[in-house]
Amino acid sequence: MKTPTIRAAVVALLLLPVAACAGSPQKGATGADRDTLVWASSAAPNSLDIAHGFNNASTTIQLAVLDTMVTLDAKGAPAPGLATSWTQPTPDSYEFTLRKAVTFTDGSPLTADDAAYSLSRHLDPAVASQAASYFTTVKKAEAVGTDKVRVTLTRPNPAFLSVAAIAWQVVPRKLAEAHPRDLGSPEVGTVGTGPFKVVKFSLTSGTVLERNESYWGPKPALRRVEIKSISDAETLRMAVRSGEVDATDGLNARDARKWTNLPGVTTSFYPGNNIAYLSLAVGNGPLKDVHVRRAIAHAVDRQALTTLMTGGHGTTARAMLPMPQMTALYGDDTPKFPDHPFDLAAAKAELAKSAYPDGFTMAVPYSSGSDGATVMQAVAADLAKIGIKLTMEPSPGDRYVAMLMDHKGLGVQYVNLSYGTPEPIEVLPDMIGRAAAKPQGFNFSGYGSAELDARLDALSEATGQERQDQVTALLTEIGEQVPYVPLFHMDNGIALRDGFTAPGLSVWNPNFFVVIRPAGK
Amino acid sequence: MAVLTLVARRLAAALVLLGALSVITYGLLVASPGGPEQVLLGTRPSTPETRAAIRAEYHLDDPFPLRYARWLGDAVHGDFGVSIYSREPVADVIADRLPVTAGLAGYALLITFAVGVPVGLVAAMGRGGLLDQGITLGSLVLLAVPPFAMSILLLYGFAVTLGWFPVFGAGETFAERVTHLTLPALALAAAQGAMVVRQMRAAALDLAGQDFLTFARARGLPRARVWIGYALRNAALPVLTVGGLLLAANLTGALFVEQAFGLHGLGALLIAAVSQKDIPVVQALVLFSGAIVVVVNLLIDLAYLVVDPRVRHGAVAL
Amino acid sequence: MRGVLAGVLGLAILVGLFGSHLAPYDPATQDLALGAAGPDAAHWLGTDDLGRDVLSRLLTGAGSALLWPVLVALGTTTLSTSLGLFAGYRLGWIDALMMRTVDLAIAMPGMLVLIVLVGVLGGGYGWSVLAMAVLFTPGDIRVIRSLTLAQRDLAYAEAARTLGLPPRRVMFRHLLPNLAPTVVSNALLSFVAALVSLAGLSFLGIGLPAGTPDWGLMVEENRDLLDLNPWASVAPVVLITLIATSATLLGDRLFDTLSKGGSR
Repeated sequence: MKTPTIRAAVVALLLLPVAACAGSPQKGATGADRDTLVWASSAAPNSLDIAHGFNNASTTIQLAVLDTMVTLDAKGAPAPGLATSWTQPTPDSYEFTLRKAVTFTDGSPLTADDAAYSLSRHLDPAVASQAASYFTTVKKAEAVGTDKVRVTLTRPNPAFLSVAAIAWQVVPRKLAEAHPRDLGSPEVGTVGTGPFKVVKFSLTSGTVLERNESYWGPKPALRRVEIKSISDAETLRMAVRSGEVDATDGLNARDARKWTNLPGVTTSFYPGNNIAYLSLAVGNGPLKDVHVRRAIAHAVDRQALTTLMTGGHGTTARAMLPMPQMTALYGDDTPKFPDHPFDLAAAKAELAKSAYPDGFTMAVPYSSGSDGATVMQAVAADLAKIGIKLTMEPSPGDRYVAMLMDHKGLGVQYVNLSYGTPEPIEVLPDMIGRAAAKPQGFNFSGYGSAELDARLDALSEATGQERQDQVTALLTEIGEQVPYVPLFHMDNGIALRDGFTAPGLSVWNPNFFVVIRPAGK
Repeated sequence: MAVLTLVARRLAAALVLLGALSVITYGLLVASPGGPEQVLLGTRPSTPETRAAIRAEYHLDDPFPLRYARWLGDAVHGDFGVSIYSREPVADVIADRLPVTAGLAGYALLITFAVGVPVGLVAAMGRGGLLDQGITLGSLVLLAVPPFAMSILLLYGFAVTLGWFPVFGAGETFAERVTHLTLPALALAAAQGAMVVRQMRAAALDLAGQDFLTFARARGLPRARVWIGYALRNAALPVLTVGGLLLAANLTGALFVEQAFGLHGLGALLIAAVSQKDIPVVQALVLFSGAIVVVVNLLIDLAYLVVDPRVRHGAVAL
Repeated sequence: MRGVLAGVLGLAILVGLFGSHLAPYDPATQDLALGAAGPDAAHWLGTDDLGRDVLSRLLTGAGSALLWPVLVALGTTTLSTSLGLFAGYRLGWIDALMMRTVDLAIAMPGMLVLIVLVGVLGGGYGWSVLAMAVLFTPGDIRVIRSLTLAQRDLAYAEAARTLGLPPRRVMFRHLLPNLAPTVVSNALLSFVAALVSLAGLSFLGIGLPAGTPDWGLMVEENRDLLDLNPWASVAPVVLITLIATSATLLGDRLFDTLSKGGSR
């Protein structure tokens, strides 16, 4: 028999790892070509079109490749994008003036028709756009002449510009029309006018972007961006630690400590546009009683919960709006809302006023293996101290979300939602509007009335001081009636290896690949 | 003739198997709460029109038999539909992932055999000795370490602490592929190699007492020559069987290892697709895995036919 | 060797039964200020990220870590032994039907079916355990059936039948004892496979809910602490490996002993 061959094979095999190590790519953070960034996200981007990929991993790439007509400045106010300016001829219409001499990365010129179609396609049921709910007040968008786009709304909507800054991405009409369903898929891809162009887009082996050398705006400092996805959080951390990945936004504030410890890695955090809260279903047994709801609010140690869940990179929530929206609305002059500070005596006193002075037992479904599991366990421990026993019913994430969205088994629920715009009107109708208190809506408390709906309606058209006052009134009512217990705001963060910096990163400018630059450039 | 009958019978059985598998998975996915619209829309408000359009596009409101029949009709024509998540044709999604999984499976099998067969032989040759006991115990321990724990330990030890290997991904070029897949392949091969060691040792020991080996020894052939020449050839079938089953298992997705090493293979795809309710992808994956199992089993049986004349002539029923 | 084996498994059973009483701390009590720390006098195996005592979690988790695999092994063994005996003894169309079903079941990619099943059914851990027991069964049925086939026509079985004993009596009183070595070692192998696989399910996040003191979950949840307190994730791996190895060895030994002493 061929013994020597077998022996050789064994030897070769034993040597293989050694040979392999010799060739293994150990990236150093040195050298001149550090204008290439390896970025990793924790989920794979699924589409380069916001109509089909309205999620963090996807929009991160969309932002780099596609321009929006309007952008947001550092304070969250609308600023020029592909539109250099705009007017508002009537309260319910806008006229945008298109930037001149802009071309798509395939060489074709940007026209007003492209821009108009890029908005109106979200209204087309054939597209089934995920951003459609942003544009429900848009009646039509049309090109006027060669460089103007007119948008007509069904009613005045001061939030329109902010919403447009997120979702009105401009793509060539020809391409979008040919692919209503699969624009942005790995097969079709996309073409934009943005600072980067797509060289490769694969769900498996990653995405590669290169600088758009004919970009109309300031050139990004990075020449090339390679985007990977690593779904396992710990593997992701190891990849950054080893230098195989230069940067990621896949870090949870809660795990910040694990990242700040890594040598050669800096983390930066900024307030995220989100709010975590407990929803109390006001139609469910004991929760009908406002005293019970207030007792719950008093009994939950939100400070401890904030520390536990955000690891020092977050703030305790005092009202039912994301932090950046509060800042955009009130500046530094946030009013004092009715609050129920952690106080067990006060909690017991409130409970004594209710029909359940000795507490009660309630079944609480929650999503196992998520942040919700941790929060609900802490909440259950807190509430047990005043006699309210929550029977924990774990179910897998997708199953739980399905139940939640069907509005089944609502009671005490942990919810953490992220938003896109600086507009409270994006949040409040979801919280206390009756239209959202149905399956697929986000009003899990079921709190609402015709009167509230009318006030929300008025808010959607309000501007200036009037808008501020109306929001204050609504938040005050939520604070008093406690359909929700605001818990905390979580910071967003990115981790960067030495050699890169990200100056000016903020919630309104999350265009990572434009912001990140080689250190010293 | 025996070969043709065998193949025909196996193919018929395969059709039944694949049919049963596809009905079961389809039924389960349809019956489970939540649907693709939740995955597609995420936790974001949506308009009723959007939701209706999605339900219509994926025929979510049709009764189960109709949906299944529609899917089956397309599948028979080789059209496995479009991934709900990425809107790519399912065939492309799988073809995209296959090289990673196939590379990993092949690499792991190579290590498994290259190490397992000689070590098993060595153990058998030194039966009862210290080396044999050591090898036997060692293989038991390797069998008992959960594959995901093995992955974590290898990852942490060799990729993170020592920095000899990359931490994640599958690499692009061939050389990169080899470096990237070495640790995952080792993690897979650890337990499987142990299995082959045990199999090889047992098979070789079975033969040790048999006449032809005694005879060969009596002829004065060198010990090593006897063992390797005769024992290896005669142990080939059981070891081949194990190898085939391992290959099938690895090809249908080395879930744990892929997950731990951030490999975008078929196993990772399955986990994602199940949680995303991406029914077309799950269906195709399940069928693909079933087909691999069937094909591998068939190949094993055919190998038996080729190697063993008794089986070939129908003396042993299959 | 035998002493070591008995010692390890005996200890495992004791800890499995009384572990929660032996635990020095409440396994759920957090000490966020302490966080993850290496072993010291107060915490022999250190603490995890939330400052929970690793030793206490290991001891408390032993119960579920061992109980579920035992249930899988019992379920699989009972099911496969009775079905295998029945098919091998009765033969005929029942046997044919069962064996074709077994062929089918064996050809199914097991882990894949399990993941689809658990992902879809969701809910309780019991489902995973039940599904696993069912998945392990077909292979064992085949083994038991082929052994039954070999035994059913031997003189002693023939004699029992001639005496007019009812089939059930022949199967369970006469055939079963002769299959005992295989049944016992199969049961132990099922236990080992279940121990390792259930830990794997926890790793994939489809096992027990987060926060449960479970060995598989501990490996998964604490692997990011390998720098700070490696024991938090290495200790459960060591325990799983130790128990699985011992159980396999015990199976081998029992098989040898039983087949030497109890044949015919």
